[in-house]
Amino acid sequence: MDVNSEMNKGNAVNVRKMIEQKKSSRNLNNLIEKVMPKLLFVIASISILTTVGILYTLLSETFEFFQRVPIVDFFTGTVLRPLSQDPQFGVLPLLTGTIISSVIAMFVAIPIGLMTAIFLSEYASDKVRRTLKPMLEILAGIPTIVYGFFAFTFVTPILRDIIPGLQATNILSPGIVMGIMIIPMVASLSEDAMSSVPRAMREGALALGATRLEVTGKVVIPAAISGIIASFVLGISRAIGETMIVTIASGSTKNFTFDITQSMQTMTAYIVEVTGGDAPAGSTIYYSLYAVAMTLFVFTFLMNLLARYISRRFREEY
Amino acid sequence: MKKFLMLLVMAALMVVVAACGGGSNEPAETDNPGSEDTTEDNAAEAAEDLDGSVVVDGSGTVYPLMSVVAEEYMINEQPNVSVEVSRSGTSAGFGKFLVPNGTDFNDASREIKDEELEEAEANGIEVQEFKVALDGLTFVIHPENDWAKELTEEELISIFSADGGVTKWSDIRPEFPDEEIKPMGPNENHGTYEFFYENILDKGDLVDGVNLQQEYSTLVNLVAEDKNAIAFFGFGYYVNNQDQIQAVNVDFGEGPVEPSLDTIAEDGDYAPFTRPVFTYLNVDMAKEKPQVLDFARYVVNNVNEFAGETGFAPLPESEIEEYNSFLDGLN
Amino acid sequence: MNIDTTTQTNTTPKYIDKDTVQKRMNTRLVKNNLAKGLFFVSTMFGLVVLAILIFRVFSQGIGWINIDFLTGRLSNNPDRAGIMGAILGTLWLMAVVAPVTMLLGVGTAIYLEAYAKKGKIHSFIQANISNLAGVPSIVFGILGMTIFVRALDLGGVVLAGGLTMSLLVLPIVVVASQEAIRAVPNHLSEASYGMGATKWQTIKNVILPAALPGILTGAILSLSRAIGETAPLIVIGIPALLIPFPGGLMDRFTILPVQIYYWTIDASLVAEYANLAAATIIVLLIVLFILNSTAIIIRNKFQQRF
Repeated sequence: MDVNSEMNKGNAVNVRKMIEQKKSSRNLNNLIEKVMPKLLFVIASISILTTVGILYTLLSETFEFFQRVPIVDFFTGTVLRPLSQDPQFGVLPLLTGTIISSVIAMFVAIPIGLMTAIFLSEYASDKVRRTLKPMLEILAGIPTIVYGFFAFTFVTPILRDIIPGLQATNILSPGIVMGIMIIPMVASLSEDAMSSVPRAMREGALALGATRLEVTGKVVIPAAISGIIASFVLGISRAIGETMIVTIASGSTKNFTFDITQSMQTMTAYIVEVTGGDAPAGSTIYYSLYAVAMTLFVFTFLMNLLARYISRRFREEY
Repeated sequence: MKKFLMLLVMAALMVVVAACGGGSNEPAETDNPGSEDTTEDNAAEAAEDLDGSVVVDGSGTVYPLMSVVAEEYMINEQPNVSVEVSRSGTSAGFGKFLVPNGTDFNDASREIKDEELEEAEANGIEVQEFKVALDGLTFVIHPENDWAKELTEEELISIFSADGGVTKWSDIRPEFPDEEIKPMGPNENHGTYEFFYENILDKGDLVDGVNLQQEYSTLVNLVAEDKNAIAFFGFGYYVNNQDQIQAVNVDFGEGPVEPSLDTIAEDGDYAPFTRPVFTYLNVDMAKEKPQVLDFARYVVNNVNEFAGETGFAPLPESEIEEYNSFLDGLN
Repeated sequence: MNIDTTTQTNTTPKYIDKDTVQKRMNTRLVKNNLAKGLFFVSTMFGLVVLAILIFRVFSQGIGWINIDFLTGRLSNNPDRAGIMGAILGTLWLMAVVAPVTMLLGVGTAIYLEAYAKKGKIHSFIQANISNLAGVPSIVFGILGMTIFVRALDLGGVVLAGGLTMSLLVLPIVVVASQEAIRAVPNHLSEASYGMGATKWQTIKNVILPAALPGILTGAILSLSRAIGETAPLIVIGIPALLIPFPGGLMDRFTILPVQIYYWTIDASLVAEYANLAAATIIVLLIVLFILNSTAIIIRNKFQQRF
């Protein structure tokens, strides 16, 4: 609002005119004041509509799918042959593929991410931390398709020199690369949790003669444990939802196996394969897409809830 | 002032987008010394400028051929027509083709099925079949596999068939190594699979543990690294990867035949494993949209030019004439 | 930081044996130093992989980057193929995502920070946004395919892709804007109210200008996320061969990551496609680098110190 600069002209101003002006603008202002909150509420509810939209599309089509394929068969079937003459829709091959790739990823991301967090939070000087942290963030900002390309054209050939019998498409290579992608996420969330442990607790332990390592192990990690575990859970959730790396580097064999040298398919890669551009609407395979997506959604949703619950439930109040 | 700078940054971004988007329809400039002009003087061809889009989906086997044809068409014929080529597989492609307002063309590596024709009828879609080339179903093995370079038709079938009773190479011939065979192929999304299943296995079950993949590239990699692997797919994917894999010469009873552009023909030596590949046209779309009809003409008259370089054998001239007269009848 | 290891001498040496303490202290310090080394190596692991990845991609792709590649049209022939179409598609996508996320994201943030009563509705929307942030991107792709592509019958055009991506990155913009709005000190808005300004006037003239750098940073970061995502667009449906350039919101389009995807899986068809994929990755990484640098510069330059 412009402050009226006519003030200094003093008596020459027609006061009545000014009052009129003020009144008319006040009416407009009042209208804005009334409309704005409502308008903003409508905008804010778009995010809720998105969630409702996701749930509605997934649920309605999944329901249709379970009309055709019994829910028990879906969750206990070990054979997935969506396109064959007598199609079978067992989701277990996809579940094992998803879980195994996520577990491999966490084998990489948890130890390295946690140790990185400890280094940055407990050992690194301010200057070192300020240099290293942004560089690690770059890792998180690289598009997953680039990781997929890297896994397929670089990591897989190297692994195949080391491990005989490793297939050209296998679950191990994308698992490892996915882990590398998740390192910054685990590291930065864990580091946040550790940094929020009050200095006084560290100083107290140091004053009693503890080494940095002992302070970390006996004071900082126990105090920050909820945030650290939550970062692991969020990392797993991220790995479960990852698509491009596994699509490119793990092939599309719907193996029900626990052999990590084999090609497997994850739930996300199945969705990519089946849509293949645009699945024909109305076929059972089209509906299977939604059933798989629903399973994926529920998985990641529960993981995210769990992470939030852990960080709230076990947070130590200082 | 600061606010102004911010807005400037955002505005600059938008201007870039708008500027680039504006002049989007200038004709494609090409400088390709390697290829001569491939337009055929066709009397029936209307020399008018067309625009709009043509949507092609379907077989991944036919994709390399159709995408080259589409590209040449856009460069040399109708720069303002956009031909979009996708490849979700023959069956998935039919799913998008046989619906109201579906795709214009569907490439297929097998003939359209009865139930698909019924669906077309139910939706009131008139479909016309065009053969676009001939393809040889090629069996490929690891380059260091020195025992299975020549196999008979029966031996090949026994490897892939559930009642073939073959799990190890030595089950085929005693002198072969005592190693487990790793059979693989494209998955049920592909017409190549269906051709194999229906015409060669005679709808018999595939052997347990056969590794079916969505991407041909994956199959090439799998075979290139496993001495005991054997896979089948279209000839084109073999031709492009001869440095990584070798083809099995098939004995149909008169000595081993190597799949090649000379032997792959309807009356060639490789005929038992030769199949035509198709594209299906939605005739209503061709009547409605001049660019669809025009592209159909171009495909029919030029497809033989590009067959060889994409690993297909050409069609006999008689079929091409037949298709031309059909298209002329649509005007 | 060195710890003073001299222990207080005690008059009763029975209880504390100095030698033992000294020995134990030494081993403890050695352990500490070993651990420090291990933690440092772990930290470097990620960076080394990053260096390898970038080196590998650049060495494979840099020779393929030239003006023809950057300005040319897509082609089956690797020597002729260009990525102008994918670059323009990426820009068009940004042209949809930027305004839509700014409007929705900032609007939601203002509502949550300034209007919503702290209570059920507020915490519900807040929880909902953090849940959306954790939904896998491919699920957004399915939402986009179902609603924009099929139900609204847009087809796989710029608008459908842009709206899908906008919903995907919305949480990023909302959270960044909320933090930026929260960081505006209270005394500024108090002063505004004191001058007789209304709530909306205060937001418009005081809070938003002060929070703008933070909001813009979030918006740019969300853009860089949107143009790096591949999965949702593949689900929406992008043709493998699309030669014409997109010229509007209702045109079919392709973007850089999708082009990388197709060239990577087609490398068995034509070996050079792998190099084209690497070259396209370089272009994509440079675009992302420019975007993110802009965000960081804005954050550092315009961050008002209150």
